[in-house]
Amino acid sequence: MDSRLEQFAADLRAEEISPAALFWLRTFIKNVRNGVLRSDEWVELGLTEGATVPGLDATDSAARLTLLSDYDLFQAERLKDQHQFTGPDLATLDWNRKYNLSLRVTDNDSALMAWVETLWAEAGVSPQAAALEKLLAADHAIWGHNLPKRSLLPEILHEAQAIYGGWLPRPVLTRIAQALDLPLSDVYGVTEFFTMYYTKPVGRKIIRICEDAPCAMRGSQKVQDMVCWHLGLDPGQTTEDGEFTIEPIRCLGLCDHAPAALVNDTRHFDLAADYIQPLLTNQPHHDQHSNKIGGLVKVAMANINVIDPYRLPEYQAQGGLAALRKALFDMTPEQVIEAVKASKLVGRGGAAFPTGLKWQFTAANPPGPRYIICNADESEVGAFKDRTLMDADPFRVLEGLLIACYAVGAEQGFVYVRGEHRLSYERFVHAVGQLQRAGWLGHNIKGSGFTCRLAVRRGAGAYVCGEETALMEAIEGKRGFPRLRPPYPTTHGLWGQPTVINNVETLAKVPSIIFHGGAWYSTLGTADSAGTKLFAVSGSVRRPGVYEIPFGVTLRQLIYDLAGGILNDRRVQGILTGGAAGTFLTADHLDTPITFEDFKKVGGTIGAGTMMVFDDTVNMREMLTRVGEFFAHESCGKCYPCQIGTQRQAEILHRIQHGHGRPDDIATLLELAQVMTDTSICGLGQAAGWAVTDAIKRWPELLGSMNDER
Amino acid sequence: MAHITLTIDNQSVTVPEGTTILDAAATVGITIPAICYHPSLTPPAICRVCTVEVEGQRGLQPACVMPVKADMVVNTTSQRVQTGRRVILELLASTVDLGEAPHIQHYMADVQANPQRFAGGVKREFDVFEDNPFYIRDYSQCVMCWRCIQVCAEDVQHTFALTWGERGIHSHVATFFDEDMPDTTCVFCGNCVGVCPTGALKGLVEWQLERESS
Ligand SMILES: Cc1cc2nc3c(=O)[nH]c(=O)nc-3n(C[C@H](O)[C@H](O)[C@H](O)COP(=O)(O)O)c2cc1C
Ligand code: SF4
Ligand code: FES
Repeated sequence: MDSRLEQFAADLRAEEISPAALFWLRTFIKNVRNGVLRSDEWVELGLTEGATVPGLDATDSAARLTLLSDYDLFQAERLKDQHQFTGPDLATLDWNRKYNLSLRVTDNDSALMAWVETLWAEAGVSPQAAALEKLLAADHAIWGHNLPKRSLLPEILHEAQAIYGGWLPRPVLTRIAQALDLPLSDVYGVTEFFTMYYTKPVGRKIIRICEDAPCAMRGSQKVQDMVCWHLGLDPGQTTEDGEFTIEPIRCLGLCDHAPAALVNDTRHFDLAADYIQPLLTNQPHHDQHSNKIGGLVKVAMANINVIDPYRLPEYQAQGGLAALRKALFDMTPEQVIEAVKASKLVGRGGAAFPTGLKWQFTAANPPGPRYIICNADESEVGAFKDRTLMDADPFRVLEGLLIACYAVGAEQGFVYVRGEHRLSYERFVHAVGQLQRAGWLGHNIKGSGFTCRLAVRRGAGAYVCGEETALMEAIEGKRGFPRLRPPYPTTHGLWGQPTVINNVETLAKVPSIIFHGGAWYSTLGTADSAGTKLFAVSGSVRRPGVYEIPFGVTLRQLIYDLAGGILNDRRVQGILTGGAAGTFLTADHLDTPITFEDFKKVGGTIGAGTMMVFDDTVNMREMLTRVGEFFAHESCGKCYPCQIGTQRQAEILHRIQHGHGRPDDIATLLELAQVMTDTSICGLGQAAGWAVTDAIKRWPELLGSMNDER
Repeated sequence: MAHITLTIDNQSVTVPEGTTILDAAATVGITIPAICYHPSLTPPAICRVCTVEVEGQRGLQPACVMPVKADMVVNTTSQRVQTGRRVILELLASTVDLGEAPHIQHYMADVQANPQRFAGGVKREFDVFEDNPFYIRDYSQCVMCWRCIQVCAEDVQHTFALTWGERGIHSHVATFFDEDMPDTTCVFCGNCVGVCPTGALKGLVEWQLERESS
């Protein structure tokens, strides 16, 4: 080997020169033709490729000039007069001009190429870059088959972020965009939308302490203050050593263990002022797997705390997959749809649309691809019933999803899991793997002629992606902007194809309906509210948790008999039903039966089934401010009324809470809420003012006398 | 092509099937205010200033995308419509500088909007980006109508220099890692400057002359 190259390699290993110098030599050798390469081409090729090499700054010309001038490796010929330059003279040239550049070393091309590649593998590319390449080249069966490449973007961003220590450096995004054939701006726009993608360095441990009502009532603010004080940080900041970031976060869906936190992907429950060390070391003091459940019936929750969610045989031992078997072998898709219609099951994600009808509309499309999505993005304030189902019995949800696919003729189903629920994601992925190995997924399942695949996808911190069309955009790899409707997903959903989207609980009801028949299910509950419903009860109750009840049970039974009544024997001040996008009931409504029809009469919302209970010591003004802040934080920003209206609503509530209300604030809040409802594109903005309007109606005094701080 | 007859503000209007309410109203001289809508671009229908009341529909409807239907009864100036339009304009005025958007100021005057109503909260304020020899970007005047992003992407140019930064109230037009225009894929076609409805995008020379004269 030429002694000049030996010297270069030695300096590189001694870190006397940067790997960027090697990068430029490599770019030259890869592109040289017949011994020469034009200098301007060389620079351009290097800049383009250099932008995709993580950890390398090709735009810094110093490394290039060192390579040119210090090793006597190159010779340049000025094109206009054939003047030759070598050695340090090379550093004086204008490298955007055209010169013919050639190498002065004698080794043959292929030997040189091999030598450079060896050096590059050793020093040039980081192990992280190698892992990224492996990620980009892999077959991502669990994320979907034969889908547009863009659709993999959210998952690749998650994985790449894990490779790069929790954030996405610019060359990594450049490389991902290149591999997926996407404009750089598009990829960046996606990272900007979702709060769980970082394009700047963050702490190795991200501590997220829930700020929403159920946790705030139980003292989460105090814990956050303690942690901030301990680390000397404000919320949103990172310690100088890069170890910790404290990130304010909205409801984590762990309200049955309030106050709760996440440290990276790990859940921490029942925080208290002396629970600082477990957060800092990320060693939780409790079992991650406890599910607080109860109720009067067991339809969707029959297996919870009974089976091991990692073992399909245990699910089957409880009768699991019998319904799928029955559907595939004893029923036509039409019969499955008829059974679901007969059950009178309506969606459990909030909108209460009849499930059988949704399936029928979708099945009625002309032949072609269709999709079914399980909406597992549960992020509403105070909502954790889907989390409980998918953590404890993912198989039942997937069985329901497969039956839906069969009924509608879909060969690809998706589960879209909230990004913060890493545990649920892992359990779904594991369960899909077990179903696959047992032959319940894939081509011609068990010889039935039905082919179906399931893909599990993660969200990345955006409540709005629970909205069905925003969720579809997210699966397609875009920002989670809700779409204009019409057209509706039943005809134009994922990639413009007919799509059914159903809530986790809705799908978890399906196996029992198919197994026992639609008529059986419809007799549970009341005439106009068929079946059973899961309620996530949180706040000032003794036993927060998920309760499954037949419709018709009263609020009092749910709150007192099942959830144990109010902490410290206080009185009920208010119950926020249906989540932040819900409405308030009061102690006067405790004897109201929980049904769609009775709730309608008293102005309550069943929604997705959340019940946040506030006792008479709770500062309701503060709770309303938190509701307002939730919407302002989660607005996607697409339509003006919600983009700006949610922020102004939060600001007004904040000033009222602190005793600085203005005389016309109440009128403004009411008008703003009406306009957001009237003109917003999606349900987020439409519902953003409901709780506030309702509070004003229920407690005229609450926000009315505005100049006393409470 | 089939024609459809409907009623807009008590006038009978007949237009071809597929016409939007906005265009149908224009045929009888009714101008519905609109900010994001541009006839050559895919309407994002996000400003909601074109909101109208359609009898029998729950919420108000965006006239820019809502196709007419037979016997539809549309009201473009009802109390509910005016309230919606006014509040949205008041919200916008509290967020960005509308000083160089006279048409929006006219809309505000028409519904007697109070630009101070929501003042005092978070505003979108940015330094002017003067990063290329052709145009400046003054995002304090940007109303997030999406026109520039769309014209740069599939709607016209397929250049994809622009995207959205952040979300919610903090949404803004951004480039990859906020890099300067010359470092992006921008080809300086000028289409974005052409479709911008406010003073947010402007030729550099025009901007410099204005600064000198003020
Ligand atoms: C802002 C917003 C968030 C939503 N979040 C969820 C969610 O997390 N889970 C869910 O199932 N539905 C959610 N929905 C309702 C869905 O849009 C959709 O109606 C539902 O998934 C349909 O399933 P279902 O018919 O089984 O209820 C949300 C709606 C809105 C407007
Ligand atoms: S209502 Fe809010 S969340 Fe929904 S599209 Fe409009 S800005 Fe986005
Ligand atoms: S013009 Fe219709 S929503 Fe903007």
